[in-house]
Amino acid sequence: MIEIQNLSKIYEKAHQKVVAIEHIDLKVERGDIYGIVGLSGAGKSSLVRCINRIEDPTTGTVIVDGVDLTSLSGKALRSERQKIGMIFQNFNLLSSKTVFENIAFPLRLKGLDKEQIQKRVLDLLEKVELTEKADVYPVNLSGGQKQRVGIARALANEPSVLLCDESTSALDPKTTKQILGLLKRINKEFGVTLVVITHEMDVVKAICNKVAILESGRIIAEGDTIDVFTRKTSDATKHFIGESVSSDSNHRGNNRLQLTFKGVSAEQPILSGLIRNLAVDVNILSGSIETIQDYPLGKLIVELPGDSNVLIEALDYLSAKGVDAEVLS
Amino acid sequence: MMEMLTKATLETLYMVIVSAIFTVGIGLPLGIILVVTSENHIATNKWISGVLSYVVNMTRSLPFIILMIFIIPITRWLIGTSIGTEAAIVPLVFAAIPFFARVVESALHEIDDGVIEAAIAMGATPLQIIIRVMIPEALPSLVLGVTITVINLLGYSAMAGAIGGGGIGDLAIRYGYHRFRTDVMLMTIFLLVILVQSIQSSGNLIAQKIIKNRRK
Repeated sequence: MIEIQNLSKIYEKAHQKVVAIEHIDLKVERGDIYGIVGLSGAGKSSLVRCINRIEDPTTGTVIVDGVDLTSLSGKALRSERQKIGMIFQNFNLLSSKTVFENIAFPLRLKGLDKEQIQKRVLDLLEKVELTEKADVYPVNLSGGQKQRVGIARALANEPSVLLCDESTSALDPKTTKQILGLLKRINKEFGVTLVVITHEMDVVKAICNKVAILESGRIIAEGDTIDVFTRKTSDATKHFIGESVSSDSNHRGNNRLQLTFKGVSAEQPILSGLIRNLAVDVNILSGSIETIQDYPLGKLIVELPGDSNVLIEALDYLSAKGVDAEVLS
Repeated sequence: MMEMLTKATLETLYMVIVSAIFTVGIGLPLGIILVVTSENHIATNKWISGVLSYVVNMTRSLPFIILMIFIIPITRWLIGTSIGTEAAIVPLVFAAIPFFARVVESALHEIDDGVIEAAIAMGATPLQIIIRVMIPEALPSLVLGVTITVINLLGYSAMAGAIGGGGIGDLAIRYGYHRFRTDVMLMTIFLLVILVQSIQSSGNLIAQKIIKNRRK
């Protein structure tokens, strides 16, 4: 759906080169909700703006739905842009136009006739549950309502791709949840491919099936969200994925393990099986369970008092049950 | 005296209204070009924006009375004469265009970049962005900008007497000053104050109405 090859963006300011993104390769499949996370300044915004060519990449190509956007200009580029919706952190609605006219705006640009516009906008208003706000100006809307108008406007042209640039960063947690639910619905019901730019890992956990972590203009980790979260963390990815359990406790015991349960293994009584079958003692030091994409992910730090044989046996048992075990000490 | 005052007021209104129409007609596009050709805008062009900006600054650095005399050849070429009310309109327009262009420029620069970015993302052409996004978004500021410009024109028009343009200012100098007619002087001042006040209040009213309408 979206193929990014060797993309770089270098700004030149006062004879100084600032590298925003460097040699990025990325592939987004049709129907994905692809998260791109990174701290501010990591190059997320530049990357997403290169996808619809609001910014021109310095090198590299961007292919959306089979069309190489980097080779286009003028009218051809504008007509491709109409197939890519975009929503923004600050909504960017026109304060001079009503909710109805804001949503109708992209359709008027295209020169559609009145009846078509009327029908389409009313339909979109219903989808984002704002029918009663049609004649209201944006200044009177709450943040969540504004973003829903933004989403309706972005969907007006029935795009195949929706770019979400920090689309929930200006919203409170409850509204964020609603907007994320709406985005997920849009992905499921209309088959729109989503690219979600965010600095909040929770957004990725909630809706993205794929994720790329961006740091200093480079991708440092990418893949299925669940895999990226369960993979052993490097120092670089650590502050995004975080360690949901504290591993640096003062406990000085031997045979400390970090166990990662995902999917089916998270729902089975593995530990009690371990205790019963191998007749070992297990101390639970800390643990947590979180849900990523409706998929349970458990992390547990345990200690197995005893010698190294106990440890080896336990590791065998655990891997047979499909649990990732990492020896901490 | 009433007759004189009425005639002068009508001359002033004529000069101000006609030159305001030309000023807005030419200054608005000029201001728009100054903005869209500026750096990181929808039609960035260093050359055009540089040259225009230079010309605008140059025209604005001349005092009106000097500009009026300086462009007499152009006035003569356009109107056929350099004396009279019509002839005064030419320097008025020349003086007000660069001023108004700068006013337009600052009003349009106030628009949130994100809104323009959103329009680009929707596939809008630069012309569509100017007409459907920039002008409506900046409309209240533009209305206030026109108001300030008209008041400026009123001030400049007082000097038009120097080339036989007539009007209130001319009356004030010829009768009020040269002939020591204090009553004429006071009346002209009174008239000018009334004019400026009513122009400013109508401008404010229109701008307020637009803003209020958008808060519905």
